[in-house]
Amino acid sequence: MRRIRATFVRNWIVVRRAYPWSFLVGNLLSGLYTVVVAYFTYHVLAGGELGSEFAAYAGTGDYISYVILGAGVYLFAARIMLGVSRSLITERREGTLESLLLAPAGRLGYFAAVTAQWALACAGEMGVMLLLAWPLGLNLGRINLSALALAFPVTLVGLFGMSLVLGAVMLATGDTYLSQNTLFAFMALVSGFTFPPAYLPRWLQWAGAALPVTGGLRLLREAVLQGRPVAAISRDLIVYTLLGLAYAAIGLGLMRTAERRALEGMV
Amino acid sequence: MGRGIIAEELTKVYSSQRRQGWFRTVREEKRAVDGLSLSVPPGRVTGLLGLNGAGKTTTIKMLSTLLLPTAGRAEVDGLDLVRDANAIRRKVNMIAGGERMVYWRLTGRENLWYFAQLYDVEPRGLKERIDSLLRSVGLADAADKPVEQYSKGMKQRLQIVRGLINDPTYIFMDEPTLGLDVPVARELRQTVRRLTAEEGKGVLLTSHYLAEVEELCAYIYVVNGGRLEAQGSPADLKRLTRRDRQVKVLLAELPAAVNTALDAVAAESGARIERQPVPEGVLVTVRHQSDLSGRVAGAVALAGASILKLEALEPTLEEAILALADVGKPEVISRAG
Repeated sequence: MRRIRATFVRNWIVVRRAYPWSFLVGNLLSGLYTVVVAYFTYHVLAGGELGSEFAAYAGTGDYISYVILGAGVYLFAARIMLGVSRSLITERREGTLESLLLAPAGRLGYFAAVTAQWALACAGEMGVMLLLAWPLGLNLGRINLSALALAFPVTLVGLFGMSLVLGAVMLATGDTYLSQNTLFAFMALVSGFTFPPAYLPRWLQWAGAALPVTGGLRLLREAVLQGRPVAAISRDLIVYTLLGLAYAAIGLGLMRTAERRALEGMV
Repeated sequence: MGRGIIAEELTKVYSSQRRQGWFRTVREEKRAVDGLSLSVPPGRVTGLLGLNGAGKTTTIKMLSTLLLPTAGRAEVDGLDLVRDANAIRRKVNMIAGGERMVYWRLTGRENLWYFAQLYDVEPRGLKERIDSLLRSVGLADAADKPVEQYSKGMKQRLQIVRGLINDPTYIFMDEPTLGLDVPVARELRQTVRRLTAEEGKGVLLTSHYLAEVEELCAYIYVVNGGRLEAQGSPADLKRLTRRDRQVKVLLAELPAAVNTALDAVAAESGARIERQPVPEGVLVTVRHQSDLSGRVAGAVALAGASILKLEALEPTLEEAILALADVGKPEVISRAG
């Protein structure tokens, strides 16, 4: 616990000193652009009309709330995954990987601390983004706080698992740009951030369902926009917790191999 | 096995794939360390020398648990290098040359605090310990500045105390004085001596500064191409190379009687003699594996000449290492067992 707290504090200080405000503004604008484009597309091009299948696919007829929440979760997910997955490769680039790996501290605690730090920072960013987008039509009237209180940590477990797998790939290959952007583009297509995955071909829907973030997003929408009670989503909560943990286990295993490759490449 | 670091037949093979054209890759193997056996007892500085690519850093990384050996075994105070890696990490630390291994965006004090948490250092008295370590390397005034504002030497000094934060029993020093100012390097050498002599720590040192190695190391392993070429004290290694000692005698003049006397010494001992005119007179150099300074001085004096200056020069460790690394000339190497 002491090491987790120390890594959380260290990361908090480093991130606070390293990232300028312009980076935060850029992230917020990126999320807001998505919402604004969706808003104008809906109102100006579609004249506020949706296909009849949207409500069936999305579980809600409120397209603007659907997109605003999706954009907020995408901002949250992408930032956490960037922060966590790049943590070890950043240590490698900055020359601290060896001193870190020399210490008798487990990697699970390290990543848990880094994830917690980024989750706190990114939850703040997502909150600001949702607040700014609210006037465009975010409706939280049906929110079920109990379901949200469970859906949020389940989503976080899924993002943690995905970050570990992505981080292992980055560390082993030494690439960050290609791997992260490929994943993020794929997520944007199949996970349902701006449109329901049911519009996609069946095989892409399956590919999307294999990503924990897809299930996490669905759970969050069910809790926030549909106000579904815990009992109604309990099965999905368990399934996506297990999926996230499976990703985490695979990611930690791959990370060991990636660490060895990284260290051997540094000799 | 008892106290100390003991490695037996340690081997590390790196595998990589080289692309040949678009679709074909060729697997390549490089044997970085090849059956190396060594020991690092507590209370002593042990040297690990060799030219670039000799396998020194790979050896240190294996012994510090960063890399898994491909073959062979090693123990640290009876703990197995692979099985008990986490327990070994509590006992060891590494200090490498350069400015790496510390967080540039943290202050010096924050760096030491963070690493103390990772090593689970006793919280009671930690603040005093950090202050004391920072003072010991002259960083007390810069303790609360971000490391990115430090000079190169300051970063290196911080790195040194980072390696001491867990009070390790064994310290791996990989080119620790690389890029340090002369006074700071001297202070580091004094610290190393104190750590071994007074605190009983075992140090494994690699350095390209052979004078530093000669000054600090009681025992040295020489590796070349991943293999152990020789081992022994600095004096042993100099003897192993069979390099000649030199006696340099400066004479005001070189009368025939002195010439004859010197030739007689050369004939008896098998020494080689060179005579070289210099502004002050004549410089006579006598080369032989043993120290002939007494015999040369006696012969010159008996022949009636006065000596202006006499120097007896030992072969340097640098010459010895170069000779040992020069596998193309096996005649200069007498391998130690």
